[in-house]
Amino acid sequence: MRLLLVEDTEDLAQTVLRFLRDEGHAVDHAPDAETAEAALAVADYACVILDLGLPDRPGIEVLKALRRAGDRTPVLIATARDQISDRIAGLDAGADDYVVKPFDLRELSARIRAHARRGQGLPETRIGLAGLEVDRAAARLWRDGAEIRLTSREWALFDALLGARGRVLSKAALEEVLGSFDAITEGNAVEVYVSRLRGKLGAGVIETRRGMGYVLP
Amino acid sequence: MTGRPAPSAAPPSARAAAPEAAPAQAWSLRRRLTRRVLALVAGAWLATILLSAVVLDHEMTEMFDGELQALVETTVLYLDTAQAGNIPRTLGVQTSDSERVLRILSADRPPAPAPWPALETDGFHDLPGWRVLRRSAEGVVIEAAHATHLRREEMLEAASAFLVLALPLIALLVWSLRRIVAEATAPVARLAGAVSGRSTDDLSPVGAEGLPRGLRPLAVAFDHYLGRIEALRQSEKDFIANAAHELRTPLAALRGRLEMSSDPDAVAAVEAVDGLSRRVERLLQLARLEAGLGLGRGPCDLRRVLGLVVADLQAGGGHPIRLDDGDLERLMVAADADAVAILLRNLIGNAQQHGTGPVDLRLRGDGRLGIGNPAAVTDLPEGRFARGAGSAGLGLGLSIAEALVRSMGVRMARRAGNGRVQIDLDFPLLPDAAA
Repeated sequence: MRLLLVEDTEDLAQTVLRFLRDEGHAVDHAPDAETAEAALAVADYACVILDLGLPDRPGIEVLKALRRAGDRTPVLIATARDQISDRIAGLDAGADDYVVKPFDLRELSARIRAHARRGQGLPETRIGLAGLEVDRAAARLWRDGAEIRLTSREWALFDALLGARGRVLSKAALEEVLGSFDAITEGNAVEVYVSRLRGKLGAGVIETRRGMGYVLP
Repeated sequence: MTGRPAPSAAPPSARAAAPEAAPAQAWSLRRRLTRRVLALVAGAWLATILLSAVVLDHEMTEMFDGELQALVETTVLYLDTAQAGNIPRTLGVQTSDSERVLRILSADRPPAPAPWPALETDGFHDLPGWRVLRRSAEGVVIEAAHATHLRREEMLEAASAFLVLALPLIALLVWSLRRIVAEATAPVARLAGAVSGRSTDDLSPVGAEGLPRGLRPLAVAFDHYLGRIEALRQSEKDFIANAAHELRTPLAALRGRLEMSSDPDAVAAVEAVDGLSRRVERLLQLARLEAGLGLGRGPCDLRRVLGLVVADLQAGGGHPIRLDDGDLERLMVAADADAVAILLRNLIGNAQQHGTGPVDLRLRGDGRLGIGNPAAVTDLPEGRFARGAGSAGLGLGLSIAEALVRSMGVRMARRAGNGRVQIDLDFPLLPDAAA
């Protein structure tokens, strides 16, 4: 797939380029924000690997401009800024992932695969479901590119239904899932969380089978 | 990571967070001003009243003496003009209230009884209980007298009028003085409040607007120092950010090259680079701690930071982490997000690396985060974390966590037993935390 690496440190850029090209990707290199924006304007990339500390403009501005223009190209920030506030700012600006230098090249490659779009399809680690994109390994899900945040109990319930996709799960089985959080699960806990999930994901995502349980069709 | 000394028990940031003890006997500007002005004014008034009383006494004595003189003159005139025998040559006249007495004494008659002893010379005499004027004329002696208590009473009556007038005025003075002083010292109180009420990381200027001329230089100087501290802190932050970039970027290049090398020795060196990276991370954490990172008071979404740290640590291997977020979508706490992340990374990472099983995290709406994991240790050392035997670099990471906890105002409780270690952190919630 076609990737764009935005990195101003020549030494590091060459190493990453060599690695990603060895993996069979077509990788363009931009050493600054201006070159990156010019490249993004003419080519369609499956994923952008973006450094934040660029010589001409902060990398985060490139990302913000991209998102303002409605471009949903997956962006993976690879930076030396290790503070959580930088990470939150990056994710809030629309980054799909954030890795801190020094990174494992194999892990970087795996993350690129997890986020990169192949044509209009989904990355191989993601499942499409009733208009949602779900990454089970990362415990994340999106609707129309916007991430939906679930609490740990909501995710546990959704993940159980996803694992048994197409099969009906009884209320008792779901109570057991919630039971791993609290010793005592209240009688209507499953109903409460299913209703919350429907509120967040859409009414039709989880179906009720009267007298049997719930199912993700 | 052996042989590195642990940081001092209380880094500057933690020490700075400890509130200064107030001096034992501080005096109040308002009270001192009120008291002193009141004492001065009351004293001046009292002196004025006393002086007035002395003057009054003198004037009244003159007036009363004039009265005695007039009485005696009139009597002489009567004796002179009256035909002999019409006016008795020996007479004692006493008013009904025994306050005024007139006597006419003749040499050939026995004198009427008098309340004072016989006088030898003419003129005014001060005798016990009486002031007497003696005059020899027309062959007789005339004595006119006032009882001294009459004079004293008149005098006190006049003086008490002053006091009756002064007392409500003093009450009015006290009331208005308190108001005026409170009003005048309000800028001082405002300035003190603006300085003492701010959070430890608030370096915004106090502002000299509305302050009187006497206080302005203080506020201006204070703001100047705050500005300098802010600039120093910013340059310290910038320096650390630069250091992070300068250290991490070449490490990334080096790691990449080693990782891609076909030489097995070079690939094995990746581990050494990772060890070096961890050292760099600790060093940067320590530098941030020294730069007062823990003094920040947020706000920070603990739920979100926790989620990010957990995702990061889980990707890095070690025992699995189970997160129960207490069904909270967010939990706003009064702490710096970067400090929270360093604290959680050190504590959870430590539990993950040195425990013997999965790490359980439990977040509650009241700001408590529980970190529990099975571990081989039977008890935890009291006080500071100690480096366990055979552990690598444990001391530094946990010392950083301890120092952060202190400067962040987070309560930390640790206990070990039954093969488990449990750490409970209580984060300060934002005053208006609405989850």
